[in-house]
Amino acid sequence: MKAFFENVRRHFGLAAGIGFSLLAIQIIAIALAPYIAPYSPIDADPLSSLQPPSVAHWFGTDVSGMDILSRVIYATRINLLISVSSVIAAFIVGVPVGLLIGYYRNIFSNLIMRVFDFIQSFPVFVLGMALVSVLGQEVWNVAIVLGVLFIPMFARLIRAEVLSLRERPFISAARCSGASDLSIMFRHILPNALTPVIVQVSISIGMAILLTAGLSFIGAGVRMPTPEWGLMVGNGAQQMILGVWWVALFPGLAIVFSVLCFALLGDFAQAVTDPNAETIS
Amino acid sequence: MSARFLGSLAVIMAANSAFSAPAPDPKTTLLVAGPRTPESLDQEYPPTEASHEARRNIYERLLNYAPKKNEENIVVEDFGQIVGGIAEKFEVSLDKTTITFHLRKGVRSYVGNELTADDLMWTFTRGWILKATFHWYMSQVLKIQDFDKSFKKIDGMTVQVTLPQPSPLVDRIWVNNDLGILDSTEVKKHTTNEDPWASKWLANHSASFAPYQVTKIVPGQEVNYEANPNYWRGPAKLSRIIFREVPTSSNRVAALQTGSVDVAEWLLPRELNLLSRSPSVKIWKVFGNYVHRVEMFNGKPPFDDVRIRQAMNYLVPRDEIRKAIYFDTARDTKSPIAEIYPGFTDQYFPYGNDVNKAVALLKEAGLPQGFKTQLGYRSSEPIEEEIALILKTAFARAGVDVELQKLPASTLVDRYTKGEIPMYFFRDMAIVPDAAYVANLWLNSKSLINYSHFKNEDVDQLINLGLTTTDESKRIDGMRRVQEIVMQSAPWVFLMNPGYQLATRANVKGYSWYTPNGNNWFDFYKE
Repeated sequence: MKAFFENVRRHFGLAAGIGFSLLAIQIIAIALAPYIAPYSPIDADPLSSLQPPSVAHWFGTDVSGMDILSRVIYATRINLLISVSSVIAAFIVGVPVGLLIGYYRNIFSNLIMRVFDFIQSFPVFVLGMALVSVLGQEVWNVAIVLGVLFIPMFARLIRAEVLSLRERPFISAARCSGASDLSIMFRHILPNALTPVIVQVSISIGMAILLTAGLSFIGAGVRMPTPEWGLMVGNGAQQMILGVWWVALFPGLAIVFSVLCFALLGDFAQAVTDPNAETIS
Repeated sequence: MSARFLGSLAVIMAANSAFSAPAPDPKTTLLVAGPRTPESLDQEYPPTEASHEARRNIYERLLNYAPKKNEENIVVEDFGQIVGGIAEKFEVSLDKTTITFHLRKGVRSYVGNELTADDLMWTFTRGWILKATFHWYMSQVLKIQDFDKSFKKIDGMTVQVTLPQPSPLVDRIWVNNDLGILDSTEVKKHTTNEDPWASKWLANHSASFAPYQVTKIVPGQEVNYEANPNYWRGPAKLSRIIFREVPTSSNRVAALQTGSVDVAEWLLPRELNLLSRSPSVKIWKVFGNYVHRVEMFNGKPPFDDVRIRQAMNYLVPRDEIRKAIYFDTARDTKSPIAEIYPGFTDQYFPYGNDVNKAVALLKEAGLPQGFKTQLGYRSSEPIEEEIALILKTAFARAGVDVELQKLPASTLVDRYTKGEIPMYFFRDMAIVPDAAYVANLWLNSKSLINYSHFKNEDVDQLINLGLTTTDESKRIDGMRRVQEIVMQSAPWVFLMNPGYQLATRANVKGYSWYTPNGNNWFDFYKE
């Protein structure tokens, strides 16, 4: 444990600091949204429509008079809820599946791989739109759809690791000593295969944020008036021609910083878990 | 470089590339950007906003309303005065059961065929057999049941239509945009055994005696109209109209601002407000016949209770919607009848923005805590989303929790026709300027487009009286009573009459307004 913290300390640079700071800001926004958001995120105030940034509305208001700062703050909850939950779900399903199809190489594992090929052969957006339109435009349905899209990613990653690990001498030794398949998979292979997957988790959260925002931007994500960054950018984009830049800008920046945060954290996780990595700065 | 500039630049570049085709003669060619090309050019196809405009320009009708200028100096229709179109003269029998059309001589189509009584008879027969638009007007409005008894060719230039019972609309109906006369000689060339009425050909071609002929149509992209050189009023000043589909309204704004198009149709009030400050753009405004409302499904709880429907009406912040959404260019809808139509009255409209009254009504109806419901709107109509958000907040004041359902137009129509969505936006106009006709469309319990399933026996009887009696004062009194009952019954959440606005380049003149809200290009010209 001491060595781990030493490793963390060694690799903790400016980039990681920015990543953790952005994560802290998001956690604060999630936890304290009702206390720090100055207005309701879903109540329209038509007489305050499209107000530019001011003391009363730091980020201005949108076409329905909703306070953009409040919506950006509350949207952190929705965007991270969808992204994190979909990635966790994909992790929980994808890792055991990847472990099984990597360890057992038979017709079923081939079949599962072909199913993953099928899922991944579709453009992510097209498949996401199709699934959301079938399931309905609810927050949890968007999370489920993203989860489904990410499962093959985790499963393939862990399978690749398993394929290289299963032929290693320490696995043969475990097998010779009478260890069961389950024991070999979960006690000997999994701990050694998890490192790239953990790094992938952070990167996938960033991807999930972009996908959630993208789906909402094109109208296939969550519904109005749910505060969600992509939806807000989509609504604001229509106003750009009228010179109303603030409606799309601030949620757009929120997406940028949130994705950046998880990308930096992913790099940091990789550096910490890879003994040959340089400090990220 | 500002975000505004970059955003505008991108849109302008996109718009310019869409309109880069060289125009033959800028002075006589009009470039129009609209949200969609017409779904079909056949007037038997169900009418839409896009098809109404096409029909206005490529079909010629028997009768017209006399033109007059409104207070803004815009030419509109004088509903009190019917004049001849391609029927030079017409006679209506005293009992209003017969109308005789005497056709104008020398009326020629784009290809040069001369109008005769055979064209009328063929058009009428086609419409009757296809059992679509024409058949609906004849059977539902004029109550004709037997074609042979009702439609008669008197001579080569005279046709008589006889109704089984008197109708106050016996003449007015023939002004209707959907009742144009086909050049039967031309259309017959395109009939086949499988398609004896040339429906396939007419979906993408035109053949009438109108000022324009469609010479090219690419659905989803473009329609080209060429002026009819033989038009009976004289050729149009604009010899060519090029209509391009530009679905996003902000792109239409950009195209108009840069001069890539001469006319931008169906812009949002906010965009019109922006453009009105530009000296190179002219905004034409008319308080037309649109009625924009939220229909409630009266056939199921909770909206089968009149108190709930009334409560919803008391919760609408109309002043705020008018100011924030419409920039004061709309008027409150205070009757199911358009305010410009004879017989309209707003004296029975009681609904102010009164939360206490709404709460009291909900309590009386047994829902003191409010209820959950859904409100559907079209994904293609940003203004409906804006209003929906305001309504959601306003309804929540009385505990009514509204879930917004943004749906493709076809899905929304499918759901409300099946009664599967409790509340939905509905914007429509009745193109016959007659209160009984309007009420019959939307409020008669037997009407196919009474989607809210409003049912009131007194209203049904008064509508029937309005459609059959020729006593005008009785009709007006009846329609006033209908409006009183409807206001009390509150079948819809009454919103706004948004009017009709058109943005053109400043050198485009001649704007006129007709009840279908489609532009009549014959009236337009360029300076």
